[in-house]
Amino acid sequence: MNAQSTRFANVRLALSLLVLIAFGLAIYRFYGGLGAATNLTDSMPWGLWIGFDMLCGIALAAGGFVLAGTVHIFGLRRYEPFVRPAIVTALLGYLLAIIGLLMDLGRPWAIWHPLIMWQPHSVMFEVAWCVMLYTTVLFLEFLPVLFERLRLVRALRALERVMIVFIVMGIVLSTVHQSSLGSLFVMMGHRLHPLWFTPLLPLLFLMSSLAVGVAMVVFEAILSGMIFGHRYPTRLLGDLARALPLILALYVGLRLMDLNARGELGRLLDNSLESWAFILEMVVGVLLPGSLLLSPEVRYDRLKLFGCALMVIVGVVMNRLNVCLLGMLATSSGYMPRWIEILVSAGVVAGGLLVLSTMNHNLPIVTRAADREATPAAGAGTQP
Amino acid sequence: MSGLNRREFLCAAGAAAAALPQAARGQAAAPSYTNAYAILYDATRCIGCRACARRCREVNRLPPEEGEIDGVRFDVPRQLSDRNLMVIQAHALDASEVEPGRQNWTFVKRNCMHCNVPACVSACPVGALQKTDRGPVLYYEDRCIGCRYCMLACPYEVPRYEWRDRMPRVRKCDLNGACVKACPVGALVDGARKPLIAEARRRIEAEPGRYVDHVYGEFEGGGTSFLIVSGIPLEKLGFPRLSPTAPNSYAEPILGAVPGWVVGLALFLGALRRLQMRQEGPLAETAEERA
Repeated sequence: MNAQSTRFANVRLALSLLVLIAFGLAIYRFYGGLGAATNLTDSMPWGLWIGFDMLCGIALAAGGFVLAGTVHIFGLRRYEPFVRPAIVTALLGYLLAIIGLLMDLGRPWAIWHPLIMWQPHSVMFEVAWCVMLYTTVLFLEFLPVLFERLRLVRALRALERVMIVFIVMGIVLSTVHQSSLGSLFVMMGHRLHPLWFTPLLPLLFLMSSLAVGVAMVVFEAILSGMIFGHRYPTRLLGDLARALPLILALYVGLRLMDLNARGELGRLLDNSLESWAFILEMVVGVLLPGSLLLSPEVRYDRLKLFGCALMVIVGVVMNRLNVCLLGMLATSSGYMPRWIEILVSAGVVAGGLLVLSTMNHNLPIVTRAADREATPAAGAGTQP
Repeated sequence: MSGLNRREFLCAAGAAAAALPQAARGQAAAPSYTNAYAILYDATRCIGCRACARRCREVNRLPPEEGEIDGVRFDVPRQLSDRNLMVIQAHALDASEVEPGRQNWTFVKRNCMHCNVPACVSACPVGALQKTDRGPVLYYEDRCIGCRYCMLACPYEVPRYEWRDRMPRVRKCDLNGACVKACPVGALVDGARKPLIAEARRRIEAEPGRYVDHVYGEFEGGGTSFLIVSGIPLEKLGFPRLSPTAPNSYAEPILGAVPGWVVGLALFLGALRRLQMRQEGPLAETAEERA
């Protein structure tokens, strides 16, 4: 136990160091401009900070709305212990994406402009409003955790009475936001490689966010169980993961049909960087976990389930990076993120992990879930 | 309604959603900007002297791009950039790529095309880019947040960024016409868009051996305020081949579907939740309130 707590302290120290470095580099970025800190060019105006921090950050936050919907709308109350961690992760994911956005915007002090300067014909305008509204809703969904900790019983009751409104708003906003990140790219047919460019991008982004939402919940539950020593019933997680093969099968079917309809199916055999990236993305992120999770032996084995969830997550990260970066390479003069971009992104992630572990220590997030588990009656009897 | 259970409701709702007719949104006819200001560039008349480029630098207070030609320091703008709002490029093609008897090389002037339905304008979330009724597409830096979506949306890849700047701006041509007045050989003429197109057609008809039978910008992406006639198809010089529909033809219907989706999904989720509560009975409801 002692050795573990020293290892803990070391990890926290390393994470803090990363945050500190990122902070210094952020100052340099604002002093020297984007050109000094990044490898962005006129032919590649979006780089790692949009492709990873923004697109992946938002996608990986999808667990919040997926779980809230599963439990509170579809009434699968058994999964309630996972809602709070998912909401907290989603809130952090959005805050981190906003920090990444502040780094990337050329004029971040004007980030509030979409509030008063309306341009509803712009997908980016839609994205901006979704970020603002959903971050607010996530904060409201997170408030009960704070109220519980501060023992504000009456405020807690009042909030929970109207919470369903926020939950519905959160789900609606999430679907709009996840898909609109895909819509951003439907105007880039002249830049984006045909393996990824399709008018269906918003639908594909939404579907993959559903899959990665489930995968993130499973991944986090098992990981935090390993780190903090809580135990989640593998049974419950395995049941939840049953949704994945279905979503992934629909997803892969849609993508192949789309490629076929656009007459681009042959490009899979191009033996180009793009074709291999596409195949890797589909095999690692969709085909492997989708077919493995069909077997109960995989689903109800903690480590195998963990591996499959990780594959789905990696697959979605690859997909977002392929759409935003790799798929744009051929039509640009080339791009490789500069070390400053990479370290800043790493620092942002490290900061998120630090906040998450601090919150887990001090707020009723997982502990409440563990209490729940001790009284199984609370979740029983709502099987469809 | 009370007879429905959750599963039946889901099925019914799914069927209803599937039966919804795909709203066929006809592309609104692009405005033609008949009387708006436009520039016609005749690549066959251009001698590549770059007097226009020099005047552009003066008007926009931009420094020359220093380089060397035969060991002599010279202004050598090659690409559009935050300091080159227009460039004159020379393109030489293989003789086999052009029709026999035609010249196999040409100058071409590159700058913002000032589209009638500009992708950059529809991309910008804060209206920092606007198509004015008089023709030009203008950039307002006071509004810009620096997201650079315009740069990615433009099919001509025209908007450029001040990467070196601490308070960066998007830079591009503002169609002020200074280049037209600077041209010594009449390769650039300006005027109202419709008469200019007629003039371009007249030139092509008068000398069909000299020109490709195409006024680039008459219809491309809904039409542009910068028109080009040339002896070599511009698609061979890196200009995009665009359909007459506006470049945002995918984004518009997607955005148009959002309000319906929001209302529909909210109602659906709300109804589902109500049915859920009814099925679980009052006990579950109170149990949940306690939680």
